[in-house]
Amino acid sequence: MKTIPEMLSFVAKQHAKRTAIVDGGKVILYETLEKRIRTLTLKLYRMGIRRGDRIALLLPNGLDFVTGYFGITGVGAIVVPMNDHYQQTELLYFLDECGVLLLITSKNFAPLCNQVLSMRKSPCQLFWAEDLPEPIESESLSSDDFKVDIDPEAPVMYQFSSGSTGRPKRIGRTHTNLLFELDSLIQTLGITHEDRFLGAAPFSHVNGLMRSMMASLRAGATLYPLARFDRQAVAETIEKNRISIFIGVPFMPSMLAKSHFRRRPDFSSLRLCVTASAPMPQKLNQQFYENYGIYVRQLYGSTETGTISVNLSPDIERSLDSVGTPIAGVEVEVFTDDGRIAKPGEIGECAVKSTATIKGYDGLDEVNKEVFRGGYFFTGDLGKRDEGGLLYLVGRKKFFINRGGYKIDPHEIEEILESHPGVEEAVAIGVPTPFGDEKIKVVIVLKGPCTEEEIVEYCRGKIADFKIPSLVEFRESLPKSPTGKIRRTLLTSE
Amino acid sequence: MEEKLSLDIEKKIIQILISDLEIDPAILSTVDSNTPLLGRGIGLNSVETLTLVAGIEEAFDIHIDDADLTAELFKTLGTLTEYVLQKITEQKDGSTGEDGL
Repeated sequence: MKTIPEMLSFVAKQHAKRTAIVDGGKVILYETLEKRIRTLTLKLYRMGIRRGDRIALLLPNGLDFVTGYFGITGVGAIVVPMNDHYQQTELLYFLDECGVLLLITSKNFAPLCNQVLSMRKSPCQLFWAEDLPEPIESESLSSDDFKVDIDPEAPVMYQFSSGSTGRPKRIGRTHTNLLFELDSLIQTLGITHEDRFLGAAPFSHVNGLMRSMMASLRAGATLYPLARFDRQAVAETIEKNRISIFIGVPFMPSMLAKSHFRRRPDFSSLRLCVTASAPMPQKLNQQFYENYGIYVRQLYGSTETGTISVNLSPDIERSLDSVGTPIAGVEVEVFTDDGRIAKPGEIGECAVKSTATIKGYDGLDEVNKEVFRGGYFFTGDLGKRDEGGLLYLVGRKKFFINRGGYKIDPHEIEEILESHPGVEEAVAIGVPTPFGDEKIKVVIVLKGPCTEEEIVEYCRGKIADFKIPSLVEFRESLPKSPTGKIRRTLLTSE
Repeated sequence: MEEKLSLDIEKKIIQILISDLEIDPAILSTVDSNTPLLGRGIGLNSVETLTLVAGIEEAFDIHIDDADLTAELFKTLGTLTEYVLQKITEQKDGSTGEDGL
């Protein structure tokens, strides 16, 4: 089993009569899921989609997302999962950057997609999820009749990572990268086909995609996707379906910890509750434990490397803030600025070595030289280890804003703001929230009349709602270095 | 009597916006019951509306259904205040009459 389509076929055969997905009222067995996927693959093939073509997926969590994802991989094409909060500017950028030929989406997004595609220079077809073909029972769909040779070292999906400079960088992860991460996750977390996964974190993001959707399907477990985070729906799904694994972002258990339900939901079926992408605040973790009898464990990963480590320590009460130890087959080191391995307690940059890590960014040789050294990927995250080997993240070298687990490149927001006729200069920074993430503050120097409300309104429709500034401040000037570079850290520490 | 209660609720919601969402008190100094909470108003996003709701539940010891979290509810500070007042009254009367979580 060397590719993602082979993995799906293998699992579907092994667990044919088991439930793969429960999406609202639909209960889908593995054998039915495979038929749905192969029907879409055939349809795409007949539409002229071939190996290496890029197909975007703009859908919320659900059966259609899963069908679309695996259907695309079946023809050897590359999946470009898109966040369903994205707006015009982002969609245009990602479609262009990846050279997308076809966009699979829902009619709910029709006005936005039609507008974006009309602005694109190169053609891109639309495929509505509502028109996904019904599974064909015909024998012609058997794997012997329809086979595409897929190179395990070829990219299977493109995602984007925020960096220290410029626009988000394209990350091409291969079949080998993904399969290694999945097997490592399954081994480390002890996932079996008996598990029931909650799919609440967005599948368009590495966290929800790999650690809920893909991990569940790789293990032959059952996935309960939710299109959006709704507290009662999440609590009811966990309770009613005896969910055993919930992997999300800190905001989710934080909200469940704080919410006043009519009665306390029963989360006794949960054997693992894990968060990634931002720090889980200790106070809310404690509150979650008091309400539901289980601590939230923190996981560390990145788009470039996949999952790096997770805190499965039996002494969880004393290590709530730790991201634990590396998952199976992954090496993590903390390097000091002078290049030596940090001693326990000493802070340095976290570097990762694993088969799940990409080999480099396409066409960014200078960046690659900087971050891929000695077989390691240097993450830009600052961390330290304790005497027992548990890893703690303490900050970052690269500047980005962490909004509810989404890493946002501030330049993206600044570029939008600086296109406003009244704005001379703008800088976006993160301001910590009580939920462990950050909200966006923009500091602006004006060249014409403009109000705070106009700034916020100007961003709407151009960028996703989670990137829209919560705070706007006007100033006469921005703090700068002698070379004219904006001193972001000065603004952050104010 | 109800008018005074509404004013108290409104004040408390503004306090939650300052304490839980850390919105600059200067921005909130000019708001009134006609101020929109989304878009061209206070400009709350989806994460912030949930944070506000959890803060309201805690402060007033009430339960809010996620199904009620529509754009209409957050249309203005006044619509949200009215909803909270209704929830408090229902809770007092024991007339919530709903099952589930």
